[in-house]
Amino acid sequence: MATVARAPRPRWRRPSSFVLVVALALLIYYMLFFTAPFIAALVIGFLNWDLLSTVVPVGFDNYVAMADDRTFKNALKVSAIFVGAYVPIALSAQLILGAILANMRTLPQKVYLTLFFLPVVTPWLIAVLMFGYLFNTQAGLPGMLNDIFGALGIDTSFVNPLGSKDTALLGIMGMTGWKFLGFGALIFLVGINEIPLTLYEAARIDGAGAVRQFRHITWPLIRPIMLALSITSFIGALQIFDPFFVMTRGGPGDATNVFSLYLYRQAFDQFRFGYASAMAMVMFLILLILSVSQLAIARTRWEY
Amino acid sequence: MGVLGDPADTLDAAVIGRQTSLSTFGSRTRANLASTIIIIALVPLAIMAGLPFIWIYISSFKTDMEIFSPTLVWFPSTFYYDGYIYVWEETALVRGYANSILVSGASVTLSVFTSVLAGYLFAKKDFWGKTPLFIFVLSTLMVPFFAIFIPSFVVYSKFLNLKDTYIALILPHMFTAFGILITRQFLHSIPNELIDSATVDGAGDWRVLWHIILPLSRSILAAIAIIQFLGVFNEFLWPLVMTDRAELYTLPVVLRRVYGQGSAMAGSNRILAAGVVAVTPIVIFFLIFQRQIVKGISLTGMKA
Repeated sequence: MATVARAPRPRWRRPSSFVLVVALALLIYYMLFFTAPFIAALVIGFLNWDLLSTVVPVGFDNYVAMADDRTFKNALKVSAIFVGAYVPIALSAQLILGAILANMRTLPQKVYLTLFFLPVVTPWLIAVLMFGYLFNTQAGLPGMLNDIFGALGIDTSFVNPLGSKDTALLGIMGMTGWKFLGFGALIFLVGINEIPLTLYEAARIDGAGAVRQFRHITWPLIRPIMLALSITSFIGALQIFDPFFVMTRGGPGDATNVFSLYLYRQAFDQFRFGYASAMAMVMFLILLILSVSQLAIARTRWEY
Repeated sequence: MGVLGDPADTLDAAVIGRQTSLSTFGSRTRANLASTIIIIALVPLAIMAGLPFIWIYISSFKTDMEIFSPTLVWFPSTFYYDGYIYVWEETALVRGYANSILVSGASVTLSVFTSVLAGYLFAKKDFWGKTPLFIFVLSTLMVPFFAIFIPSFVVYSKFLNLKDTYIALILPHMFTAFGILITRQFLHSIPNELIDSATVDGAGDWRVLWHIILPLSRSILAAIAIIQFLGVFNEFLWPLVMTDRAELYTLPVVLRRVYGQGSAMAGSNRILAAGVVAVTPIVIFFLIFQRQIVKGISLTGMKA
């Protein structure tokens, strides 16, 4: 944030028409569509409101209700498992792929980047449609694997991961990993390319191999990018909604009934807008704490 | 955000091409053998990335019986294209596409325009309250979508009465804090003398903007346009709650309908055909613009 604090101008001057128009437009727009809804969410969280009948203020009841709501607690748990498992695994895979791509010649690198990037630009709903069939036992990947292993004389019985309580979340996790692998890899690739080549040359002269070069040069210099990606990945992963809503619909049972889906259903199926708003506030707080604590840990451990 | 290093450095490097991210790889390769092994080792991963696309193309020409045959049918026995006829005649897919392009196109145009206006304001203008305003705009980046989702729905549907209008889908993307931030960083690198000399010649802010700033920032604006387009095109939850009339459905909302119509077996061929029709333009768009897309995301990704 160092760039924000530029030389202050204490004396007030009449701003030009350009400054006035743009600054006011910015102020009004963000007040109207960010500040106001955010404050409104806070307020609605203290109400009982179905948008049609009268508003009933209930104080902290919505927040108290969450503590007794078993489905909510389950949603919190499912989301925690999803985010907690997905983010570290995905980031590691993205970093490894990015490092591999960085060491590649231009042509194969381009080909691979194209392939890994196609899922990134594919909208979620198309991915959902494709994986709906790719996951299918008869029509998709499980059938293919059974077929291939069968031909090798090994009897396997892979089934649709979304059909079982134990593997449904894993299935969506795999799909999410597939969708974002290329994105993270590209970010890491760009970061690695910013590292001066002379550092690697010096290390090589000192006799350091590829692994030690990664550990002592790439990793320390890539950590700020890791931190930024980690924060945005947590924020993004907790808010993933489309595959849960369209593919698994929270099932089987409540195995994939994540926070975002439960929030949506409370509002738009149960018309408990107050309760859903209170949940949105809880989500905001969770994300804020996650982001701030990561920044704090990075600051004390890595000393920037 | 101070931990992330100076983003302007990344921008300069990629825009000016001092050390473009995609050109330094050859020099990093070590032994030829090792790199060949790495290239081959990535093939299975690349197949996983591409499989959903290939599989949906092949499967869309299978009959429902072939798709759900107890023993996997790898390739269709006949060129069965009834699903495509159905998609063309019976679904709103084309309309959905048109709506999505309209909404994304309008959002991109508006947000690129406002990004350059606000970016110029924050980079080159001094006025009272500039720093607080900038921090305020930045702080909106910290607010997750779900935190303002419900009150935004209430505001748009109840108070502004914008439900079932294109405006409701475009307005949330009119300004983008991240676009403003990136344009501002970029414009910092443009020397003040360039603007001053024009101002001395009598050009006002709007003319400076149009004749100097806009041509110079073309590459950064293209990057913002791409990110913004991909984001808006992918959007599902907001159009889902904002549109009840089928004529206004965007592509993801149409796809959700189509996907939801398939029972266990009947109509699968049609759904797969719909998937192909939906994904093909995106694949083509990506292959044509992949250089710009990859560059755009590598320029802006860490901020997104």
